[in-house]
Amino acid sequence: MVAQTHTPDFFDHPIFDFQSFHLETRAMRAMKEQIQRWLWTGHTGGVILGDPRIGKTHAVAHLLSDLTLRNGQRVPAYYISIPRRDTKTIKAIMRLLCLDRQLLATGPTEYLSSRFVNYLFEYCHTQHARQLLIVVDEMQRLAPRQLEAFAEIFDDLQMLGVRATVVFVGNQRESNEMLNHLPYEEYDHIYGRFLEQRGHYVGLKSEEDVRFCLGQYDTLRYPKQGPSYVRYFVPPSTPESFRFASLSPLVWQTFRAAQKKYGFTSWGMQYFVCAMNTLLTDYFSKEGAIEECDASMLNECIAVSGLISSHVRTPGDA
Amino acid sequence: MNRLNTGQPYNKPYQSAYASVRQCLFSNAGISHSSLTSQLRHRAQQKGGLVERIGALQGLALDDASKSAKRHCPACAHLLYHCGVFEYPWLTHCPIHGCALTRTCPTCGNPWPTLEQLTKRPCAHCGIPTLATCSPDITEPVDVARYEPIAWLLKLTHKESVHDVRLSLRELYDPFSRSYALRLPLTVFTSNSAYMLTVRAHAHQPAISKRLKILNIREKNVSEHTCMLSHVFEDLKRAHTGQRNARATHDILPPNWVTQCECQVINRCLSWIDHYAGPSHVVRIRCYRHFSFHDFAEAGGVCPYCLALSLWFYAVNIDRYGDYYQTRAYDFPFLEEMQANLHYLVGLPLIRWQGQDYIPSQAFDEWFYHYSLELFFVRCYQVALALCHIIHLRSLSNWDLAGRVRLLQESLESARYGAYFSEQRLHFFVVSPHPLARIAGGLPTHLRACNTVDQGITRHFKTASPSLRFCESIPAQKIGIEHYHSLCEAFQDFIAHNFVRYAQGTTPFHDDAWHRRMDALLAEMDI
Repeated sequence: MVAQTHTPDFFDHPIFDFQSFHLETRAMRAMKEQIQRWLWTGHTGGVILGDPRIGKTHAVAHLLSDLTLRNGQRVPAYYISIPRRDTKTIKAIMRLLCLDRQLLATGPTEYLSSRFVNYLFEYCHTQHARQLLIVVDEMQRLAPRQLEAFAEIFDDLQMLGVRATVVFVGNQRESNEMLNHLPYEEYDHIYGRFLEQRGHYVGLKSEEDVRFCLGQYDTLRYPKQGPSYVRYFVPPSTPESFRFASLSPLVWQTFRAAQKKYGFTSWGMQYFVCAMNTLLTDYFSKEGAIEECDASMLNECIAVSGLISSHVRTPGDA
Repeated sequence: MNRLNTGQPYNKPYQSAYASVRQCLFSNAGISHSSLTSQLRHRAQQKGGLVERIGALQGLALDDASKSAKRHCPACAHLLYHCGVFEYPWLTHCPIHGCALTRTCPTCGNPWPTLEQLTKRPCAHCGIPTLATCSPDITEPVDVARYEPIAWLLKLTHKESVHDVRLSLRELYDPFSRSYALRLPLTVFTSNSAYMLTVRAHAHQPAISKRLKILNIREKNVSEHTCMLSHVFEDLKRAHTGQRNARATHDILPPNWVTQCECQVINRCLSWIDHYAGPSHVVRIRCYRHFSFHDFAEAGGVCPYCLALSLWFYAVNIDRYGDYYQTRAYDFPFLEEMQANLHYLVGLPLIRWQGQDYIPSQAFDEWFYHYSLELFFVRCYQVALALCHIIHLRSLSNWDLAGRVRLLQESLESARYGAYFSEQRLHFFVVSPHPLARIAGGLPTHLRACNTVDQGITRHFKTASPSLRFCESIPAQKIGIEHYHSLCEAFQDFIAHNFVRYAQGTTPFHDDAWHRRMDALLAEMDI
């Protein structure tokens, strides 16, 4: 194994930090552009849906710090992931929001709401901003009436002079189920504000997407002035002309074969990154492995990533 | 421990501690005052109370004195704003909104709540509103120009001004006594006083008066006295050092102007007494040393006018004979029983400006001495009146509170001054040139003047020890300087006889006449 042949410093490489390792995808870029557009055009909010395990949460977490206003000022953002709970009330949401920010979470809903809104208001004030992005992840876990909580927060912030853009992120199938059953008359105001604008987040859907991601292994460097991610792991004897991105046709073909067999809609980033990291760190680090790279090696990596088992076991939100 | 919202986004310029606390409570809806206090102990580690900790949380230097809101602008209350200047009685209208400052909330009619009452008040106007009930203008962008009048008023009322001078006191007979310099008959006008604004307006520019008018602030008339000042050089001070009790030598007698001044003041007092007590009243100056409540009660009361003038006369005259003979509380048991202070703070002014000492002209000295004497009589009258009430009502709690407050207020106002130094001249301001003129001396119906109560006192004097029997009647409204001199001499005789035991062989008066009398007395007593 790699762990036995290298010094401890070797494992400081970002590839081994599963939590923060980040590759940008074309879908991610598209999502960022979409949210940015909503912010710039003053939209009150929208919904971004996608298949489970394709990296929505990871993508959102990374783009939050990159969003800016037209004048280049960073947009303060608040992110909350909704947990699965038995109580499906507005108060439960307000309480969750207060607890998330360590605010006093007792008292009537009005007080909870007021404390949380004031927290957001102060947050904007410290950032000298009058606009705020609120991202509500795992929206499929919300009951329809709990959407009211965010409408109230939106209204209160509006009263305090802060324009909020509320973006809901959720699993496509479950969220659609909830959204399609929302009685339009009753939730007209919610629809108009948050649910009209829709976006879709997808995993890797083409060879181009794969090339875009693999190309980053060739360009990103660790340490900053050090070798590329690929050069870091491959043996020194590997020709300088070797590019990880050149494997994209083979990688995509291998995935397509598996896709046909198991019926995936797209390649989730979590599985893609795991498969490619395995390929680079555990296979390509050995002499002659690059030359021997074929579909069976890639299939092995895809299997290790858990893509096939997860799809076969439980499709949907796990 | 929970996180606290600070309320900082609602901060506005020059706000008071009261506003800061209210904003913090608003930001943490539903939190109680005690809970806020307890959480702040963990959040803001600074020492001090609620105000200091809120200040630390909001990054403001808050003044602990500004934590009450007895007066408030209704429009500012909507915006969670309050400023310390609202508490000044002379400010009647809000400098920002121009509306009248009120003592009660116009919505619920209750007095503006204290910090502790804020969270218990259900009214959104004066208590803690919610986001649903608060004013939509609560976060309106701060227009600094609108708050400029408040900044101006704060600057104007700032305790120290470069033009300000401070007064201390020279003792008449010991001009540079260090201990005397600490005592003051007058204190400077406070920011609460509209007179202070008038003085500042005089000191700075006429533009101030114009601006005060714009802000609906009415200046009050003050009496101005100006004079040239002479610098007191250190060698002059040194020359006087060690000459304490110099007055006890026969060659340093009170200057003529001093006795003339005293005579003028006693005449003013007599005329004032005559005005309120009626023409039949005869003022009797007695020595009330060793009198207690019991003695007065036994005598059936005392005339407040006579008592006041007696106390005044005693203090003025005893001052000539050295520290040892000065009035002391235990020499007047009734003062001690009343817990009343009757410090004789009469002297000449010593002006301190920018660390240097100055003395004013002779004319100013005379005026000041006159003023201090009159002020001292007012204080004596206050004490005498209080004593009469206690004797007649047996308790201070039954006393007409409004009258007492009025009297106290008048005398306190008279004991305030403002001063500044400009173009080598001292400009000195007091409320009125004659403090006595501001005092209404009519007695309540249950109190009686001399004609009824004096018989008891006279009886008491007849049975008392000869050492207490000093009693001089002044039937006229006005006495001449000779009469006053004779009164003083009679008092000197009385002191010479009665202080011999206190003096324990030392000579209280360094004049030949006294020596002769002392020798005769000692021979008579076989000491």
